[in-house]
Amino acid sequence: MPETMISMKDVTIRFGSLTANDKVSLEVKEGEIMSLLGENGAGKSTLMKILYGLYTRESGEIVIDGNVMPKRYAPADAIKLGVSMVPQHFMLIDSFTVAENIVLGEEQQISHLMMSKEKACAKVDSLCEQFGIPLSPKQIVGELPMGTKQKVEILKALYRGTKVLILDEPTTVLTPQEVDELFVLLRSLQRKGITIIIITHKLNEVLDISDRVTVMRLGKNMEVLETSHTNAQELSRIMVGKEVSNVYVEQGEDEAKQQNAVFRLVNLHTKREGERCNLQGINLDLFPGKVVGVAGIDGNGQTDLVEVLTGTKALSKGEIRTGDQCILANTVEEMRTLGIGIIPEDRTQQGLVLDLTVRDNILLGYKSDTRFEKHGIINLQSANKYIGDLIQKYDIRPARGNAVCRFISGGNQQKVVLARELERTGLKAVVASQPVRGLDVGAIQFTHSTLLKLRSEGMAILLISSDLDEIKTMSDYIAIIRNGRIVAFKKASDFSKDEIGLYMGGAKSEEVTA
Amino acid sequence: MKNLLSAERMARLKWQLLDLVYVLISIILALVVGGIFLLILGSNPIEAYHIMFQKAFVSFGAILRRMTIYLLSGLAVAIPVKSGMFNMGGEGQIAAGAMTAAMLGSALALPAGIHPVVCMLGAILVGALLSSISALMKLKFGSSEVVTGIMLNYVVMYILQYLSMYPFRGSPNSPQTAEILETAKIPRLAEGSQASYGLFIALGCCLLFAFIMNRTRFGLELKSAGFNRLAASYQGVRVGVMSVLSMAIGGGLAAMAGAVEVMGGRYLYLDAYFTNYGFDGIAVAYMARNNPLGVIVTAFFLSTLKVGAVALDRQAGVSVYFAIALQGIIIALLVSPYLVESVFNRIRQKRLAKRKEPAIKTAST
Repeated sequence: MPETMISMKDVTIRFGSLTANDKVSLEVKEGEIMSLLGENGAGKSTLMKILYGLYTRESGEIVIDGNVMPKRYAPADAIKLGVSMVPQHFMLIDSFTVAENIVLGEEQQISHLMMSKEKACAKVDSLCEQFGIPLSPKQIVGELPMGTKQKVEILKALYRGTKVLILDEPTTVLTPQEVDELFVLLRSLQRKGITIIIITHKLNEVLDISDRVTVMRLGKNMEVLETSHTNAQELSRIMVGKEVSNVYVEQGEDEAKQQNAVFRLVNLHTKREGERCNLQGINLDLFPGKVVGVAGIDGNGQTDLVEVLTGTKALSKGEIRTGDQCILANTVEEMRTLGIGIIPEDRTQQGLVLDLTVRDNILLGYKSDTRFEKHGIINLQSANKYIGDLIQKYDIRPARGNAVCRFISGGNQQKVVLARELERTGLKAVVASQPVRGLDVGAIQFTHSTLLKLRSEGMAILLISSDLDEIKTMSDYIAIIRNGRIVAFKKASDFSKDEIGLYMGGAKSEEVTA
Repeated sequence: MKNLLSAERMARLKWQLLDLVYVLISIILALVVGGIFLLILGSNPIEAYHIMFQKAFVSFGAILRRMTIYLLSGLAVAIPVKSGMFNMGGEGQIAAGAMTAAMLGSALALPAGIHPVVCMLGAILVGALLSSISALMKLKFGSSEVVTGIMLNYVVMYILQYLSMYPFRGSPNSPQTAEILETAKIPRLAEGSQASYGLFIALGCCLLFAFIMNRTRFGLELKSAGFNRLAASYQGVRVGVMSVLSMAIGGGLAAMAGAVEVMGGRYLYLDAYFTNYGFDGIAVAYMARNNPLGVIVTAFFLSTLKVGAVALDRQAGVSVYFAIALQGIIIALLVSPYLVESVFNRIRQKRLAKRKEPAIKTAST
C-alpha cells in the first residue's frame, strides 16, 4: 500500500457570495496519476491553488507528505515540500535559454555568487538524461513549440526537486501528437516515483492517463473512481449531472449545394504586425448550410483571418467574392452589409465592451439602424423592446437589459454576443472563432446547437477552433491552417484525427488552391 | 413590461444615489481630517468651518461665478475621459478661450444678440484646435496626451502673455487687453451680482452632455471606445476619430469656461488671471466620477470651498492654502481606489455575516 502523498479534507473557500470549494476532499497516493475532472468553474483550479498556497482556505485540513499545513502558507512552503504546478499559461521568459529559464530563481543550486551558464547547461543536461526528456539547454525558449515549452516547465519543476506535479489543463495548447508525447513523459515520471495531478475537463484524457479520477461539480466533489472501472459515459454523467447528448453533424448529404459558395476567400494576404502570424494566401469557400471548420494550432493566422472578415484588419492582397461583388478593401461596415456575423475568439476583449450594459453592447452593433435611432438619438423604447425580446430568445440571465456585462457569467456574455451577431438582418454567414472556449457544458451546448440551427436554416458557417473534438463534431468540411495558409481542405469524414494533427504540426502539407 | 422598466429605473437611481452618498461621505471625512489639521494649526475647526461657509454664502454670487467656470472646465475633463483621453491642457485652453473672446469682444462691432455668440464660437474653435493637437499627436506618433497637454499649456501661456503685454495691451499699467464692448457682455443675474447668465449656459452644457452620453449613438460609441478600443473597433467604431473628437469637445468646453468669464465677469483678458481653473476642473470631474450631472454638484462644492477659503484667510487668519490642502484631502479620499466604497461594503458584509451565522470570514482576493 503506497503512502498518502496529498490529503485535503473538507476544504472550503469562498469568494464573496460564491462558494468555490465546498468541503472538498482529495487524496492522492504516492506515485499515482490522479485526474481532477470537472467543467469550467467546477472549482478544480481553485482547489489546486489552495494546495499550492496561492489561496488561503477558510476551513479544512491539508497534509502534504505527512506535514500538516498551517492555515496560511505560501507557494514557497509548498515548493519546499515538493509540490509544484505547471500553469496553463506558461510562465517562461521567451528571450532566455532553456537552461536559464530552468535555474531562474534557484541559481544557488549551481553557484552562490556568479551565474555560470556552462554549469547550468550541464545541470539541465543531466536532468534531461535522468528523466528522459529531450531538450537542448542552449535553445531560446521563444523559438520552441508549445509542447516543448511545456516540457521546460516540467523540467523546471523537476529541477526544484518536485515530488508532486500539478498540471493545469496541460493539453489545451498541444497537437494530438504532442499530447501523446506528454503522456509518455508523464508515465515515465510516474515510474520514477513522482506523483501527478492533472486538472482537466476532457474525458478521454482522464481515461488515457490516470489511475484514479476525482470528479468535481459546482464546487463540490462528487466521486472518486478507479479509471479502470469506469467509462466516458459514467464520467460525463457525474461531471455534468445529466446525460450529455453529443450534437453530431450529419455528414455527406446533398453534395450539390457546395457548387455555389456564398463567400469565396481568394488569396487573402495581410501585413505582418509584430509577432503575430499574418495571412499568406488563404483560399477558402463558404457554402450555404455547411459548416467549414478551420483547425490549427493557435497563432497560425486564425486571428488575422477573423479580423479580415470582421473588417478591422485590412487586406494587403486578395479579395472576398460574394455573388457578383468583389471586395478588396474590407471595412467593418462593408463586411456588415455583406451579412457576416462575427463571434470573436475573446468575448471579453473583442466581443464585448464589458463595462457597458447588455443593451448598449447590442445596440453598438446596429449602427444607423433606423429601428433604434433617429438622427443619432437612440429610441429607448424600441431598443428596450427589441433587446427584451433577444434576452428572452437567447435566455440571457439576469434578464435585464441594463445589467453590466462585466458582472454576468461567461456563458451569458457569449449569449449577448450571439444575440447581437446572429440577429442581424440579411445575415448570410457566421464566423465563429473559439465560440465555446472557457464556457461550461450548458453554454457549450447552447452555442453549438444555435450554430447548427443556423446551418439548417442555410447559413454558411466558418468555425475556427483549436479544439479538434469541436471541429470534428461540428464541421461538414475541415480546413487546416498553418503559417497563414490553408494546408488541407477535405470533407470532415475523410480526415482522421491523426491526419489533422500531422497537418497542424506541419509534418504533412499540401497546398490548397481555391 | 412597464413595471419592469420602472423597476430598472429605480435600481439605476439607487446606484446613482449610492454614488452620491460615497461622495458626500468622502467630503465629510475630508472635513474631519481638515479639522484635525486646523487643530494642529491652532484654530478652532468648528469656528473656522463656520466662518468659511457662512462667509461663502454671503457672497453667493461669487460662488456661482466661480461655479460657472468649474462646470465647463470640469466637463472639459469628464467628456474626453469617457473616450479614454485625459485633457491636461485645460489651463491653456481656458486662457486661450478667454483671450479669443476678449479680442473678438473688443475688436468686432456686432449687434448685442450676436456678438457673444460669435465670441463664444471663436473661443470654442480655438480651444478645440488646441486640444486636438494633443489628440492627433497621440494618434499619429503615440505621444502621451497628458505630456503634450501640459507642455502646450506653457506654449499657450507665454504666447498669451506676449499678446496681452504688447500687441493687444489695453492698459498702460498692467498686462491686460482692452475691455470688451457692451454688446459682447453677458448680462449679470441681478444688478450688482457677480454671477452672469453664463451660469445657465454652463448648466445647459451639463444637461446636454448628460443626454449625449446616455441617449445618443455618438455617446455610446465614445464610451465604448474609452472602455475597450478593440471591442469597439470590432463593432465599426472609429476609435481614433472618437478620441480626437472627444478631445476637441473637451478643448471647446474649456475655452467656453474662459470666454464666459471674460464676457460675464472680468470683461477683459488679464495675464495670469486664468490660472488653476483647468487643474481645478480635473478635480471637479474626478469628484463627480466624470458624470456630467455630478459635475454640477462638485463644481458647486469646490467653488464654495474656494470662496470660503478666501473669507477664512481674512477673518480667521487661516491661510488660503488650507482650502487647497482640504481639496487635496477630499480628492485623495475620493480616488484612493474607492476607499469609502470598500469600507462601506465591508461594514455591510460584516453585518450580513453576523445576521446569517456566527463569524464566517469572507475570502478577500
